[in-house]
This record gives sequence, C-alpha cells and structure tokens, in this order.
Amino acid sequence: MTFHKCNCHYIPPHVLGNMAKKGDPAVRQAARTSAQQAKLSREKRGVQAPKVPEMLTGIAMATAPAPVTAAREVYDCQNKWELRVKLARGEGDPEFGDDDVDTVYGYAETVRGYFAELGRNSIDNAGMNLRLNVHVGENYMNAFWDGDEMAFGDGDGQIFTSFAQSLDVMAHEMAHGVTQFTANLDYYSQSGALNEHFSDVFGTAITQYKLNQTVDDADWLIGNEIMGPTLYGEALRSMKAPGTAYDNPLLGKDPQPAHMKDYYNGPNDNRGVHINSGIMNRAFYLAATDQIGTQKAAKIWYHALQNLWPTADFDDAVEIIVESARTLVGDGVVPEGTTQTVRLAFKEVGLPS
Amino acid sequence: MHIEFEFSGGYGGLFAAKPLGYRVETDELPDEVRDKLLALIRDSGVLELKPAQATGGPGPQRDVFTYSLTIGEGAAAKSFAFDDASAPPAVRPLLSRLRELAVEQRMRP
Repeated sequence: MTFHKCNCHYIPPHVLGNMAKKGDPAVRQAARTSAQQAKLSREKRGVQAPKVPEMLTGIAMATAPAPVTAAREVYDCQNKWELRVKLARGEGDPEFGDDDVDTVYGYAETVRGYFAELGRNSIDNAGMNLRLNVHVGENYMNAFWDGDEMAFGDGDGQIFTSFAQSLDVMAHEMAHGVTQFTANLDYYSQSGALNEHFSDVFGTAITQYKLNQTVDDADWLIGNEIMGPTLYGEALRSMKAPGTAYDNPLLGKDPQPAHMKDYYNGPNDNRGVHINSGIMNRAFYLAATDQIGTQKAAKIWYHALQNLWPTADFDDAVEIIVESARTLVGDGVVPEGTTQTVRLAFKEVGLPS
Repeated sequence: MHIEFEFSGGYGGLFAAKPLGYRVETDELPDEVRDKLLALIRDSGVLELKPAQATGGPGPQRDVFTYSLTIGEGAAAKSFAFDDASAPPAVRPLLSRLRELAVEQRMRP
C-alpha cells in the first residue's frame, strides 16, 4: 500500500471563503472544509489569519509543512503533561519494547486500513500522518483528539486501565479526526451528539471488523475493555441498550437515552454530546442487526458523514443517512430493502422528531 | 485557602449530566495533602494567570475533560475554566491532583 501524497499547498483564507460561496457543489464542499480546517488550526494555536501582504511575500509558501504519507508516529510522553515528548516508533520501525507504544502502532494500521477500504487516505483524505501519544500525564484517565493528533493516558490501574490498549478507543479518537475533515460537526447540542455518535459507530465497526464478529457476537459496548478492578464488568456506553452501561457509586447511572422521548435538554456536556448520542447509537444498532450487518451499515454512515455539515441536527442526519442508503442500494453496495430498514431503525428511536 | 473544583467529560463522557465536584478549605486537609496541594497551586502559577490564558472554549479538541476552578476567599477569589488541551502545561498537574481528590472523595464510604 502506498500512502505518499504531497499536501504542501497553501490557499489564503479569503480565497477559500469565496470558493466556499461560489462554484459547483464539490468545489464548495472542498473549499468549505479547507477553510474550516484552517480556522480550527488557527483557533487551536491562538493565532490570527495571516494578512494578505504577509502572504504575498511568500513566507507562507516557505513555511508550508513537509509532505505527509499517512505514516504512523507514536510518541512516548513519559508521563509528562505534554504531547510529542519523544518519538518512540515511526512508520516501519521495529518494535519499541513498550506495550502501549507497540499496541497503538498496530491498532493504527488496522484503523488506517479500514478507512482506506472505505476509500479514504488517512484522517484528512490527503495522507495526513497519524500522530499517537501514549503515556500522557500521570494516571491520566482519558484519551482525546486535539485537532491534530491523538493522546492516550495510562489510567490509574484501578478505575481505568491504559486507554492505549483499546482498539475501540483508538478508532473512536481517530474518527473524531475524520469527522473534523468531513462534516466537521459542531461540538455542541445535536451536532455534537452526532459527532460523538459517528466516533462510536467507527469505534464499534472497526473493533467488530478486526475481531471478525457478527452482529450477534459483538457486545455493542463502548469502553468495557478499559475498566479496571473498581469498575470491572461495567462499560461507558451501550449501543444496544443506552442507559444500561453502568450504575455504580463512582460514576452514578448511565444517563444516555435510547429514544427521543427521553432526550436530555440540560446545559451540561455541551448540551449532551455524550448523552444524546445514545439515541443515534441505538438506531445504528437496530439498522445493523436488522439484516444489514455492521460493516454495510458503517458504509452507509460513512457516506452520510461526507454529506453532512457543521450545524446538522438529528433530523438532518436521518435525512442524509436514508439518502445515503438509497444511493448505496442503487450502486449495489447494500441490498434492496436497506433503505426501509434504516428508516425503520430511526422510527423506533423517535426520529425524525 | 478555599477551593471549588468540578470536572466532567472525556472519552467516557464521565459525569456528563452532573460534573463531579470537590470543595475544600485547605486548612482542613491533612498536613501532607494540604502541603502538596498548596505546592501545586504555587507551581502552576494559576493565581497569576490572566483570564484570557485560562478560558477553555470551542476548538477542535474532542473528548477532553473540562474543568471549572475557583481559588481564594470572597471577593478576592479567582475563577477559571480549562480543558485538557487548552490548559497551560504548568496547570495540568494541579488539575490532575484535584481530579484525583474529587474521585477519592466520591469513593469514600
């Protein structure tokens, strides 16, 4: 497999803005995504968009990033609270000898390969390198996507074990990157819950793919494999039965609803991005288990992700996912009857609302 | 010194519906816990931060923990909002310790 693709061009923000408003739909989408990425990157770094005279000097061209190859870069953060402390294993390097470094290196190949089979060249579809940071912080009970790279904590060994040891977690975080470079769903309210939902979909689909599981073999749980002794047997989310993943003195009770009638309307969690995703997760589970299968359902959802937009809500997603099902039926990718199965799955969770 | 701390979020969406809180007067803590916490506060430089350096906001980061932190007495108290990706590196050990203390308190019978 070849991953080399140069991505060292630079287009000024005002030009991207104009392109996003004019031209054919494909150009508009590409320009909109590029402009969003540039804006997000500037926000992350706390810098302003460069002024036109600066760009005309050619400085931007001279400082363009090096060519990228979808190569894996695994960094050992040595329990410091910063990223990219030490490059431990690059693409093609021999085993490093650290379990988390080598495990995450292997998982990244699985996830990269899965998206390649869907027709995608890395996170940005332009060969972006996969930067994975392990041993982040001390006893850090989390994993996240920071807009450019992934970070995995060791857990405390009691409540959570290492987040780097879960393919589900790695695929979930990398899928946040894919979403950033496609629909770029706002991380707030329903669009934010969709953002979380798509990451759960790919986390689960990739895990089932790797383990060669059928919909009946799969546990449809998220996070069960990183539970330490204190929470052993619990999970963080259930796609099959949202609201049942955990109930214990530490975490309380799983707040995810399984149906729109129980929709969370509160202000916390960016208005419920990790809570209301349960409704969409349940719909995916119902579609996958009603004859379609997880992998074909994931193809429909991936098709839809490329046609959604930052402020899309649940009803928008239902419309686009059903449209995607119809398109893929027409292309012979999924069988006749799939559109109706998907529509029924959403109806069973109260969507469209 | 009075401290009020809350956190939620992360990959697990922990305490999503109700952030986990920790409220304490450092004078009431065991000596060892108090001394370590005060040292972390001092080393973090959090009390010297300007508001713009300590405000978590919308950005590309996903699944980070988000934190609210108030330190100090009465009108002199300072309040901050952070997340894992945007918090100044020097503040992260303090946030980690407060997170541990909040969890320990919740786990206590």
